[in-house]
Amino acid sequence: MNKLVRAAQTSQSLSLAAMEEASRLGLREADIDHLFLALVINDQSAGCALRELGIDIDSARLAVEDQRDAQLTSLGIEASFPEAGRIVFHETDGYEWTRRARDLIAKSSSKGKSGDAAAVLRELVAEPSGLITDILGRLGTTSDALIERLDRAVSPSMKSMPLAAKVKGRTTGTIETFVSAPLDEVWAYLTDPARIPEWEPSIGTLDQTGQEAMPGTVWEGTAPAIYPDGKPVKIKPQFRRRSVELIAIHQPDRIAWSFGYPDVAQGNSILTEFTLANATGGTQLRISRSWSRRQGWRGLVAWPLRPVQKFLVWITLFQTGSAISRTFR
Amino acid sequence: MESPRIAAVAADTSDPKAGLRAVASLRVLADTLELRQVEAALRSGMSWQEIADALGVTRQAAHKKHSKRIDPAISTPRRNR
Repeated sequence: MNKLVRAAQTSQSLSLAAMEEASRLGLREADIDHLFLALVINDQSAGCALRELGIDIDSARLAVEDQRDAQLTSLGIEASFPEAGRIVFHETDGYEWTRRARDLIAKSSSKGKSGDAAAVLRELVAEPSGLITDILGRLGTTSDALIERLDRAVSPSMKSMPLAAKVKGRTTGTIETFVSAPLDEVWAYLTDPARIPEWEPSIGTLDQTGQEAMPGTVWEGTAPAIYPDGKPVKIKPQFRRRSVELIAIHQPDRIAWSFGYPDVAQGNSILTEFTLANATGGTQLRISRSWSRRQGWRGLVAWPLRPVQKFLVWITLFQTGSAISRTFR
Repeated sequence: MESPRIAAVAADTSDPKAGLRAVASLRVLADTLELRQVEAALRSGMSWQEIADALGVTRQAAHKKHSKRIDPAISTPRRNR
């Protein structure tokens, strides 16, 4: 993966997680403390280094809150921040980075720097206000200890695990994400058909969720009628009905679902596969999505658009990955 | 924890670095509360003009800062209502 792509994907996933963290505090501006929380649940080596120091999302959130409250007290103000609620980022709008957070992320991909999450973390612990140093202190560690750990940390990549075999004529995309919950909880979530609408944006409702999850079982459902922010979805009638099939289930770490359109004659179903692996402080999750390419002249027409397709696959994978991560926070 | 000690030096200016950083946190608190109050005001039927007057800014400034940030479930009043 080249640096530009890696930096863009890193910044995208950190932005989303940080703004989600800001959203549960009733804020629309994500600052460096939210960036820190985003790094704690990051799937790359930066998140791994933080978690190996015993920092998880709950303790990190608490440290950030305590730090903010203590600062108010130090001004002689008896107030505390409103109680944090659930993440409302996907239902609301108007989010942005603070200036210093945006500059910091830009700096991490400047000349001579790698642009991955580790580079962002290195910039973050060196930020001049001292806020992050204090938060690390509350978490019982120091910038030096963290950097030292980061130098040794290897990305908790699942490269050793077998990737779904590349099939000719299929478009495939893969993404990895970290979920801050034990593997068996993530497994129970991903194997429960009733939870599918939470992580698959193209499914709104699903019927017969009481059916036993066995390979070959098919569920019927509908596409979503409204977006998470309440706006109605415009959709052609033939794309309204959806079908979901459980393709494979290998306890405890592999499951594959297929999503189709029963009313579309030449419908192309999309295969979504999950591979789970234990990681420090949670579960590393790999998500693959693939579908067959069009044959004949349509395939030729689509050929120059493959980079665009690749990007679109990444977007949908990213949506699924972040929805799963959000459920466990 | 350190709160009794800190309360004793309430608003003191002997450690300006810590004091300045604390002020930055206070601004974050103010922003959080501002959005909450604006949402509550819109829900209660106040217009952008009334909100802006109460905040002491222009209607345009209040609208620019908050119109996108508020809960989309709130139906916001149109200009001429």
